[in-house]
Amino acid sequence: MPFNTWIFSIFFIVTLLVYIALRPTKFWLLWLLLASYFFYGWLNPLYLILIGYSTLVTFISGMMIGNTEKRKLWLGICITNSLLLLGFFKYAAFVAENINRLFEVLNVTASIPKPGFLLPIGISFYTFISMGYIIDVYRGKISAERNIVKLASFISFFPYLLAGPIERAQNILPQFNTPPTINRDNITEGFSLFIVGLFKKIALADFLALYVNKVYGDPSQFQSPALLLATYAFAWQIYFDFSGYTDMARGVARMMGFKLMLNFNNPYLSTSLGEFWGRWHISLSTWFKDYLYIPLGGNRHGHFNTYRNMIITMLVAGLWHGAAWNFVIWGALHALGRSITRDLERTKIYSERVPKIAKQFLIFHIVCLSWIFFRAETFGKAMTVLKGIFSCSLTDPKFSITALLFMGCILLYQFIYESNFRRILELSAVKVILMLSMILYMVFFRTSGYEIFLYFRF
Amino acid sequence: MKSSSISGSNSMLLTMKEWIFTIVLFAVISTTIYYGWNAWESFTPGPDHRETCWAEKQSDYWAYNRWIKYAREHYKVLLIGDSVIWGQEVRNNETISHYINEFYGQDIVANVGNDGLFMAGINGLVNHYGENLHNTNILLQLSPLWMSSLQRDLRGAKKSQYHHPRLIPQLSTRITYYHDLNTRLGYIFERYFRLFPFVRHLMANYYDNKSISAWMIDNPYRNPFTAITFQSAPVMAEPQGKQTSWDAKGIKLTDASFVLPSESVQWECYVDALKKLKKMNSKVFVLIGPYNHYMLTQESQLRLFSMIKILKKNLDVLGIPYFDSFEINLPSKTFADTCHLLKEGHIILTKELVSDEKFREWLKDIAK
Repeated sequence: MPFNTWIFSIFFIVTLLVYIALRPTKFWLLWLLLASYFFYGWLNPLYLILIGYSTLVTFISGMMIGNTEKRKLWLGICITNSLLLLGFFKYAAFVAENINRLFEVLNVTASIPKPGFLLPIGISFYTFISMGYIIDVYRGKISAERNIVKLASFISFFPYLLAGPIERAQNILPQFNTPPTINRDNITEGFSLFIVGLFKKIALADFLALYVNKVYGDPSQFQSPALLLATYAFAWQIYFDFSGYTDMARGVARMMGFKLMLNFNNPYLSTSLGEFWGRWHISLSTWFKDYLYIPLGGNRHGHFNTYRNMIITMLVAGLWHGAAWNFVIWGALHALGRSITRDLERTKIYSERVPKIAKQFLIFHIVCLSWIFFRAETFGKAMTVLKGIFSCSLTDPKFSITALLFMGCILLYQFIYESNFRRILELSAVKVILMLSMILYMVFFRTSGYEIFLYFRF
Repeated sequence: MKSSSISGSNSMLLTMKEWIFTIVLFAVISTTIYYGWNAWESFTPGPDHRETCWAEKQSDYWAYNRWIKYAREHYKVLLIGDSVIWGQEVRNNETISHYINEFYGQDIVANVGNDGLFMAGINGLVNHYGENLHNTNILLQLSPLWMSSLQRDLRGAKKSQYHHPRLIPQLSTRITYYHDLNTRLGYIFERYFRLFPFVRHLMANYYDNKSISAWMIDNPYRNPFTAITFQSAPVMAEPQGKQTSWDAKGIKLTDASFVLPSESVQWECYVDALKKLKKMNSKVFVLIGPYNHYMLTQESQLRLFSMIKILKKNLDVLGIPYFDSFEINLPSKTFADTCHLLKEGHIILTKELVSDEKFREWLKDIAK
């Protein structure tokens, strides 16, 4: 039940109205849980068994960590359980495929059958939410939740269940203690976030996808300008798609009185790759930082160990996005880029003499280079795109001027937003004109097709 | 200006006042465009006009409704039905409406046929786009084709595409839909938020039946606003079929099951449309057929005729006058296929219709 569907609109209106009616009673949280499970079960009721089981193990482990001395054992049980679930449902096919390939190379006639089930949507998100919770309980950052309804509501809260943000228990569980206030500001702010997110998705991401899909579908048919523009377009498509979803998620939660964390913050204005990861999918990058990079040692044990930890973290982050070598390469490119630029950033010349805009240009292009491997369906196609881009043949890319204008305008908007002129964007007249333009565009220019959110695949 | 409690990445958070402004401005702009378009887009239907209704254009209900409105204002009778009425096998001046007008020596009847407009579609048209169908006279086709099988009756075991998915009931448990629930909820929304049918008109008329976004991808350097010429599609004068009889085409006899009227979705919708039109003070005369019974096996023919008998009884109960085209035995060679008539068929059918007593009685007051 994606947010940009009529079914969701009806679901949300009913959920919100009943939730408002139940707020004075003790059933409001149970209602949220039921609504979240309905939302998730709508896709496939069998998914409920999985999330129910995962929640139960997390709940029991949390309680045991809080009440027994075998804290490490229960942490291990819970983490292993989450990783096994993720590994089985997300990576089993990938592992089987690679083992079979190895068998082929070794001339072994045996082969492992590939599992035929579909990846349960959102599993990468809720297993990470569960693991974050249990690690925090173990570390004593939070106490184990004794109310299973509250914990289950936290793990499965429908605004972020399918594609994040990967919320933290410290942020959400306290908000579930008492029914949050719903006032006029919650509704108008939440609705604003939702509409902006919807615009990003259906007007921008889906629009750019039309060109990207065409070019990346068969890159050998296109030359340098088209491949380059399709790569830029994909960079914006994935940003609009994912940040649009997050905006909608935050908007939906906000209308119900909850505050979700910021997940994107103008990532393409970053002047370093480190900064990029502080602005892109913030909830995931901070998760990896807190639960993988720092436990590995972070940057505390010298140059070599820092780079090693960085590389491991980025490779795992790549693999988190999908069970394919393309994603591993994408993570490796970020690790490599981060390793190189980290030292560069420490030089006086680079940090003081190179203009900010040049740094932003460089980082944007490193990110775009990595997106090629993220978007291309195979390694071969990614290499075709790369070779094509550097072939420098000049043919007409047939790229929509309107799309180019959009990308330029959004970039300009973000520059203004982060400059001293930001107050211009906060003028009522400007906001009204921009919102009106977005709504009119969605109504008159909307794409008639329907593209699934990219991050649902992960 | 309001300082936001959840500022962040590009958050453009509007206050209640700003939202009210936005919504009012949106309402003003969209209403102006929606209603203004009638005046801005040239639409001057000549004699024997028939609305372009092939492929995607068949669901351009904004244009179709505009034609109905015009026809209601300029003609005394609206002849509503599917492509048989539209005249698939003939020129626009060889249709049933043309020959009725020729017989009376004046433009009485407007051709409001629409390709594939089955009975459930007529019901949708009346219920959801029927604002121009009140207080008027309607000659309404009843084609047995749409009851010739479970599939035609929208109850097939397999999902298969049919015309006018937007006009049928969207939440029936009896219909086999080929669109998912979300799409169908969108169709329901469109019925109340008429900007979407209007946008579909823009797509059909100016943007090669594509969304404007998709059109901009195919026409990367064109300004989308320059595509709008404010000219509606010209009348489709030429026939759309091959204009040869069914036996010359080598079509073999078919076995059609025909559904029971008491179980039929199409018939239920048709009756509902008749009742609604009555409530809207419209006078309805039903034209049963035409339908090529020569193409049927003997058993199928029996099923067809027994079904027609029941339908006529039902119409009698409802007090709706009708003309049964099966009674005049249209010659086999006048049929192009299952139901479309060639030119001679139209001439014979019209001749018989205008000499029918019930029809003359019905038209007596109207044609004055």
